[in-house]
Amino acid sequence: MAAPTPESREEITRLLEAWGKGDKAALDALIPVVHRELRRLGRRYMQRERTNAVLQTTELVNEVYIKLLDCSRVRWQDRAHFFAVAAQLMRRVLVDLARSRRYAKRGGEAIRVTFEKVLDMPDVHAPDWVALDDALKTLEALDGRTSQMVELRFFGGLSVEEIAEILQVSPQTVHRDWRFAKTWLRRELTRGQEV
Amino acid sequence: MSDSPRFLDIKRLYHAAVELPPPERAAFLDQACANDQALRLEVESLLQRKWNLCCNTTGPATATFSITRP
Repeated sequence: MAAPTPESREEITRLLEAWGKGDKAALDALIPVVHRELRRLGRRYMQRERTNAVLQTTELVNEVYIKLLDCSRVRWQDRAHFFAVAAQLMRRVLVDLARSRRYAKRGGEAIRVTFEKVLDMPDVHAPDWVALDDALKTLEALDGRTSQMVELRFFGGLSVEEIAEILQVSPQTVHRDWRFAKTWLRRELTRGQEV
Repeated sequence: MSDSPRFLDIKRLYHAAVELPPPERAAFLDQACANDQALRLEVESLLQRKWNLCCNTTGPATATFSITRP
């Protein structure tokens, strides 16, 4: 995709504003644009990095945000909502990349996409995105809000205050649920592993 | 989205117990899960120290991912 022009940036900013005011069609128009840009960026990183690379999801989401939008015009509430959508799409992009690389071995060279540091525990083996995605699906069926919170934090890098605003709960609730979610995920992702 | 009431109970009891000093947790769970041993085991499993070592909930929590070429 060619670099967004000032006109397209203005258009995307307008879509975000409209969605913030309740226009659902604007969101439907926004999603494919953001998805495409995240996927393109993710692939570019995969191809460009010759050696091992460590990347942050927030960097990617931020890069897309700066590229697609006229940031000076975006209200902070709209910014938070953009990151919420981008977090969801980031998750999908990474899982797709991890899945496609998991089985595609070329010349005996497999590319592993694992996530690191995410659970702050050095002794937990880093599971891959597919394992995290599966655990989040389980969590989603049990407790939708907590699962969404993990998504916003892991994949969108949103702050506690921004998440509280999006989920319409208190920051204290976000802190508590986040603590629970990390504990639960650590246990879930290390099932069958001796820690 | 339909949440599991059972899971929300587990979460609620975890929150309550984790705030208590460890020696007081057993008595709390005795009372809270008097007739439900499975519930108690589930909450106890989450309270284990190894899952709760790092409880910094304020710092950045962005996922970092790595690309590895063997």
